[in-house]
Amino acid sequence: MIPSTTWLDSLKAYLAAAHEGGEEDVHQLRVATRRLSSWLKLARMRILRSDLRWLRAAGGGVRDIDVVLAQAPPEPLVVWLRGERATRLAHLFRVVAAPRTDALCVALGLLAPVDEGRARQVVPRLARRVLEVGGQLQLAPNDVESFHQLRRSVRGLRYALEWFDEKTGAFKEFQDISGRAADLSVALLLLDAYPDAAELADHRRQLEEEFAARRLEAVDAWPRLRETVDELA
Amino acid sequence: MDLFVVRHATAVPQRPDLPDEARPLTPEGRKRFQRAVRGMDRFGVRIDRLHHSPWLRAVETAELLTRLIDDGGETVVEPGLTRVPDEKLLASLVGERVAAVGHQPWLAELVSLLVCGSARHAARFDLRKGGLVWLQGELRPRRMTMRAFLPPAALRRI
Repeated sequence: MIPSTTWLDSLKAYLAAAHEGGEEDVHQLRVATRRLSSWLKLARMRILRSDLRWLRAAGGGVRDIDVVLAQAPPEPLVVWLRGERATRLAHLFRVVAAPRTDALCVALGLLAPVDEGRARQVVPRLARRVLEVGGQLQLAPNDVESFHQLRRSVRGLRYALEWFDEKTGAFKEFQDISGRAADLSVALLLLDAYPDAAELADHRRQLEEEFAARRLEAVDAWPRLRETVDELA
Repeated sequence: MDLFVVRHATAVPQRPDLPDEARPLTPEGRKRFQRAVRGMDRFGVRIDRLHHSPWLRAVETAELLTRLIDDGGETVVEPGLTRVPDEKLLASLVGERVAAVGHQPWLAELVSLLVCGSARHAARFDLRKGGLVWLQGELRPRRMTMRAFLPPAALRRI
């Protein structure tokens, strides 16, 4: 049997720490929501996943800014990003303090552990989904949406496997490579929202070139992971 | 809006070693409610937002109802469904075809409030476990009308 306890405790701990607004706390809060969503998928439950998504989205606004600040962007952008972070952090604080968040933790805590044998039956479906989107990306290596879909589905499969304590080194390696590209796509999205983006045209070009290069690295890395995924499907 | 008020299905009885909020559905309660959900489906119930109490029997009941959620719909855990209905609860029930899965006597009080204007007439709405009340109108006191009041046995026969 697989209880949700470890990651539910982690979620509660990071919810308690979130009021300090630290980068790592916000990041780990989001990770805990993903791990618990993965557990619900293994339990074949649709319920509570929207609530976890809602909580994750609130943290995501802050996390995106932290990711871009870590890339040492131009100074005018840094000033704007810091202001944006404060606004988004205030929203996160409201979400964390909302009765819905407390109710979510209560509801998750009442669910029975998942039967391992039944949960394992979900893995092949997740693996087939990874292979499907991986195939789409190979057909259209420049399709940004396929890239993001592959990245997300690989992460979902990895998190599912980790509930069984399985080794996921190959998945993590792919995630590290694709994550670097994803971080650059976040930077481009935030640059779109920056009011004086026109003044940073050179910076944008640089980001776009780097994003394209990193994304292709991920496309190249996919066949190495595919063999592992094939065995799971 | 359409509001589908659903009482949780039959759960294991109360006992000293099990907190009330942790009571799961019985296997029979689950099976019977699955048949009731098929009846709701045939009756035309579609949901875009499914609110449910955080207590286990409501969570498990709501899970069985998720097959009626439209694409893009979502579920929301709603602590206001574990107490006397108030303005906050009404404000949170957003959507066009909303379901609220919870407990007695609060669900009957919610129906009474929305149909009659106050919770005083709740005793008239004897919602059985796994039963459904379909309300239509504006989500404000005395602004909704009752389209259907279906006990679980009736739902299973649809």
